[in-house]
Amino acid sequence: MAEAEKPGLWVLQDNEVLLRGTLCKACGSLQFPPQPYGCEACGADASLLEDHVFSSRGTLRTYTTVHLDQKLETPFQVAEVQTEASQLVRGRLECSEATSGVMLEGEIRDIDGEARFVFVPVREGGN
Amino acid sequence: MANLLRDRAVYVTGIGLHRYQHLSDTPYVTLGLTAVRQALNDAGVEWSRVNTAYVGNARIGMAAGSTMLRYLGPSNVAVAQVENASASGSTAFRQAVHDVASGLADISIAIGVDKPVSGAGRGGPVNAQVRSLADGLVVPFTHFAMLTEKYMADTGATREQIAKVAVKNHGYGAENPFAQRQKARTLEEVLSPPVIAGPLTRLQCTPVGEGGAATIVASEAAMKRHGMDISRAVRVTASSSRLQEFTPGENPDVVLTKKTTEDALAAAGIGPEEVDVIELHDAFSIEELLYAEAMGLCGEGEAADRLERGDFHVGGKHAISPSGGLLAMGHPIGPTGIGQVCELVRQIRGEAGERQHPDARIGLAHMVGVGAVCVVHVLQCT
Repeated sequence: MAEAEKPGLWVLQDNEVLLRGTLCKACGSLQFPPQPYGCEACGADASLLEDHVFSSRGTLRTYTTVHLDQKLETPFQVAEVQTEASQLVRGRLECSEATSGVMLEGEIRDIDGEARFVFVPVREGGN
Repeated sequence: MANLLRDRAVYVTGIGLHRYQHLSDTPYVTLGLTAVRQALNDAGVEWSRVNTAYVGNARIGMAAGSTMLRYLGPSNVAVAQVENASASGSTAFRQAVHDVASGLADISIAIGVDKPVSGAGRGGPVNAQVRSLADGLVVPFTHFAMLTEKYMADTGATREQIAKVAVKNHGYGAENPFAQRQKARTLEEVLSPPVIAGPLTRLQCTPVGEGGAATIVASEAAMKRHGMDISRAVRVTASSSRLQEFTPGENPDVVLTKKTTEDALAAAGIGPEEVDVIELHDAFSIEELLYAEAMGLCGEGEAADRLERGDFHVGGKHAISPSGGLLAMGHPIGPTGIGQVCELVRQIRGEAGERQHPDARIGLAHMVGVGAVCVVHVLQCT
């Protein structure tokens, strides 16, 4: 569903796709996805949480190929990525030679008429 | 915290089940009451003697329990419905056990009944409105396919070794008249399409259907007073439950299982090596291996080899899911955790027939539920 990404899980900045998370001012913990309820790490009140953007770059931890889905065209790949900010982020993957440890970054692609976040291999010479 | 179950003996004295099955025209009331009447009959006690009732249910909606129980006739029973996702039945059982342990009730009944109807809504995880990049992409089977891929990469286990969990459990399902899937499967059949995600084939994923399960829980004094047969009673020696902690980078269900099992074994005063029979949350084949390791039944990364050696079969070191588990007995949600207790009672009584694990004296039941929560019970022969 397109509205899943509407609350702003990512932002484009200087041609790089950044992820939006929640930073806890009490304990310094960065959490993704962002939420307005309270810190999962230390229990701090929601008033102590602030928006924080971080790089979507990271290494592939594991991935799988999905063959059954009621809405999406199959097969498609899903990845779990350890970002440089140490967040474990799951999202769609498009990578023909996926192996554990490969460097990935977010890219925004048009899928079924919607702008969607996809993990792709880091381009050679990219910034 | 007080260890109520050490200070006061609480027993399961009766068990009952309605077969787990695909969605049918059978009303949920019939599913539930079939199990309840069987459990009352097995315990040898009348409905009017039951003080409290807990009905585990996740998908029927408001007042499923009270509506159903009116049809058992006059009673002063105090009823409450219990919802805790996949652990709804386990949590209902925990409430019944604690009612008896605390002395609030002499006899309590824990019931699980469920049916995949749409009335219960989409639940907390969706309504909390925390969106992620995985929305619409990662459903439970995708999550477990990813865990399977990770486990294979980390331990060197093969997809054949992981599929052998399902071969074992389908074999036991074939011998269990209450199982949804009652057909033994070869490794080739388990590995054959349809492939759902990654290494997971259809026969390595639980069927979610409908069914009923019930257990009567009583104190020793109540058993004597009402002439119940103590020789067939099985004692509950631990009940533990935990909420997921914030452990980034770790598999939350594994961490939860490890800690909750440790709590339960410590309360019962035993070690993991002493447990004879385990019923665990094997909604997907990989879970049996992950949780066997988390429970301390073997070392990390060893479970696939141990399974192949026969350690987790009936007659092996620990019999895991002799009921067929969620993979073959099925996972109707509300009844599942109580169905596990029924199987442990049957095993400890020595009444499990073809599936009987020799000299089964100590059993452990384990469920996890979305949220996430984990509930573990230990049952022992008297």
